Amino acid sequence: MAKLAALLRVQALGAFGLNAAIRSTDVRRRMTLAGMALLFVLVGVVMAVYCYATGAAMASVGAASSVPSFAVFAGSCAAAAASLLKAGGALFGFKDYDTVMALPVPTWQVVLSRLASLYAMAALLCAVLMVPLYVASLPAAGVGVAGWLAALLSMVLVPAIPLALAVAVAFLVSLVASRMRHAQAVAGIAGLVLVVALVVAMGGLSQPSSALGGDAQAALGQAVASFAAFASGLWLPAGWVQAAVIQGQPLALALFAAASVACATLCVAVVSRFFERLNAAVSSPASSRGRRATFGQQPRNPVRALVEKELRLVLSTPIYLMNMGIGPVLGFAVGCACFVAGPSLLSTVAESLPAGAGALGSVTLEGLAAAGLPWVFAFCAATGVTSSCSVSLEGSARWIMETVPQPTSVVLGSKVLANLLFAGAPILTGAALAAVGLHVPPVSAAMFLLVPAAVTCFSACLGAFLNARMPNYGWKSAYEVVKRSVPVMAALLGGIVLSIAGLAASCACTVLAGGAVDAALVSAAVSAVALAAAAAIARTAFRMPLGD
Amino acid sequence: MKSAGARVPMLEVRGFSKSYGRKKVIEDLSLEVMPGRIFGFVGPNGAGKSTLIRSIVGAQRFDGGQVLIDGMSVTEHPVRCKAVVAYVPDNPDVYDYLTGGQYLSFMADMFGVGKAVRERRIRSYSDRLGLTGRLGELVSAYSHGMRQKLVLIGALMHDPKLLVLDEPFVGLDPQAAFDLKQIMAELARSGSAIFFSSHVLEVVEKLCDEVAIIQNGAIVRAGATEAVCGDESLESVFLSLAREGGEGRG
Repeated sequence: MAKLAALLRVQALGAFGLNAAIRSTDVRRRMTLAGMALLFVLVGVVMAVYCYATGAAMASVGAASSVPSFAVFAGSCAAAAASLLKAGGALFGFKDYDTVMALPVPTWQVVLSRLASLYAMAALLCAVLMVPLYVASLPAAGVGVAGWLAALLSMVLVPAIPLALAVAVAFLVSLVASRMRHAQAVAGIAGLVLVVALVVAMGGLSQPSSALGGDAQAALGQAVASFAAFASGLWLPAGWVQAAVIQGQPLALALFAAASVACATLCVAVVSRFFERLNAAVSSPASSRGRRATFGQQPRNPVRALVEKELRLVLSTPIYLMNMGIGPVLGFAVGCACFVAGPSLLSTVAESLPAGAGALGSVTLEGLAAAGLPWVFAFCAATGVTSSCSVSLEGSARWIMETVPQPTSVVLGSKVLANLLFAGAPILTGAALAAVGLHVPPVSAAMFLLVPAAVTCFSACLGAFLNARMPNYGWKSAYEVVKRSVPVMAALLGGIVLSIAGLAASCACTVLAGGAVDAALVSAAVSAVALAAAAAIARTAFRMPLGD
Repeated sequence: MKSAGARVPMLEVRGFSKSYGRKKVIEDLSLEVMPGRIFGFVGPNGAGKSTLIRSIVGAQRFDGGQVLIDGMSVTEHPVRCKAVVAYVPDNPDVYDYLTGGQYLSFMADMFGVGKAVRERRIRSYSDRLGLTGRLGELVSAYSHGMRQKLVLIGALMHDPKLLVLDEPFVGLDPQAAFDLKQIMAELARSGSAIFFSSHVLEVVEKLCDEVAIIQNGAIVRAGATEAVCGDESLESVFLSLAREGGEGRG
């Protein structure tokens, strides 16, 4: 067991760069890690607040007793998604596989140590989601001590079954990825579609209940209860926990606990039994993967070659594609929806609001939409800032970037250009469709294009500059730089703050001055400032030497 | 190989120094490589070989001194210098989301190599190094040796005036190692200069016109290979210098 403890300790120290934060003598690195930790806490707090609000909203529409199944369903989905993202790298084809397997340790201990770290991460995520949901709603459901204990147990055990399923899927994905030429792109696109669908579904679920009248509240309560029943049917553990917490059924709790423990044990046993074979299958190349040899494509100019390389990198790195693609895809989807629904969309929204909320004095919802929607597209564009980690993603192959006979302006500029294509193209298409579909006035229509374009430029330049200043080439998984790096967070924040400021300014102007043209002027002014800032940042970035 | 007549060195390093934080890795190092010469750079681990090489190829800034490529300063004219240099790093990490063929095309695009020339060179070198049938595969499926060969082909694509290699023989099979030595000799005959580091002292001794031995960031012996070795093998010279260095430190 001492060996298992040592393996667990190594996994724990490796998690989130914990050991590096403790042991590093590099003050800058420690500050970066501390900043990241703070950011994680902030994100956790935001998630918890959001879940608390959701729980309170469910309680306010009389659906408090449906919360346990909803919480288990949400926790399971989150645990499955998080485990799926990490399981492949943690279990199959990981870099130190040979080193670990050469240790005088039974295979099951190696597997258990790795699964335990995944489990701990999933359990933490479940706690962040489920505790606020329970705290906000269970008192309203009149749950006793036994119910609270059942709820507590559910939080601890919820990750077990999703984790086991995620491991199975991760193995299949790793296996396919090692066999299929474009598996990474397919996995990334599939993940992107899934995440966008989840965001749309969550958006649909989290309509503000306070804006609804009594009948609507009852209807919503019924809808939530129906969803909870659906979740319980779809995901049996959700139903078991629901019965244990609300109805106090000990048998349901025992069933849930037994199924969770059995699944976890089975997962460890099966993966341990086939660990070597699974890893051999994942790491061995298929015999017929190659295509006919190519002896050089048509020559391209360096910028085009670099941009194509950047776009290939996005497509072939699922976590990169999923993280940066959500905003642009959502923006495009919003644009398509506006185009299809037409001006009647705004009337429908206006009708769904309480009397008086659809109009502020002489200002109409159409006027507000014309003023605010460009900034919504800008917001979506600001979340697709690929340039903020594209320098770091050069990783151990950065010597190519550093030694090719191209100036920094070309190398870094191509990363900015790739960002503009990746985020700007779908957003501008969506914005143009929205402007046409909603029949906005010509001046406002111009803002639909100018505003997202300006914010995309600003974010892309800021991201490239920050990443060139603070590159992290020593990553082991792309996840580290895409999800946990300071340049990504800072560039996202910069673009988002700019979008929200622009939205607030243009909407405030519309409300105060009462005309769409004034809002367009404000939007144009903010866009001009963003473009000027982008140019200044780019000029500085392009003068920086790339290299260690 | 031994008849270099040009007066301007293809590579000239003058008073080079580099520190990492407070630690001085190299101090006041100077050397030069004339066109058509093969220069071997040997030294123990951590002596500063890769540090100097990375600075020569423009992958790393340095603190003091000058590095001139064909008479041009790498700090003042980095792009022009890089255009005539080719680099083969010690760890052949390349973009593993590209196929071998795509990587070579990318490198040819970066160096502005025309279609006909790139096709001819890719075919010629990949045939020679036994990589032709694998160029359609993703680099992620390549072994270390195959990546090494791929990087080498990419480096030779633009017919460099100066080829800089860091431990080029690591991971190569005997045939590929033989081919690489042949290619290096051919390049030198055609007037290019070659600067490489290696721990394979027998190869350095046989292949190089000149050799420099570096210890603790300073060159302790340099010159024509015959002069450096005298009656001994390069290995003996290297080991005795290492012992002296160790005693000096102790």
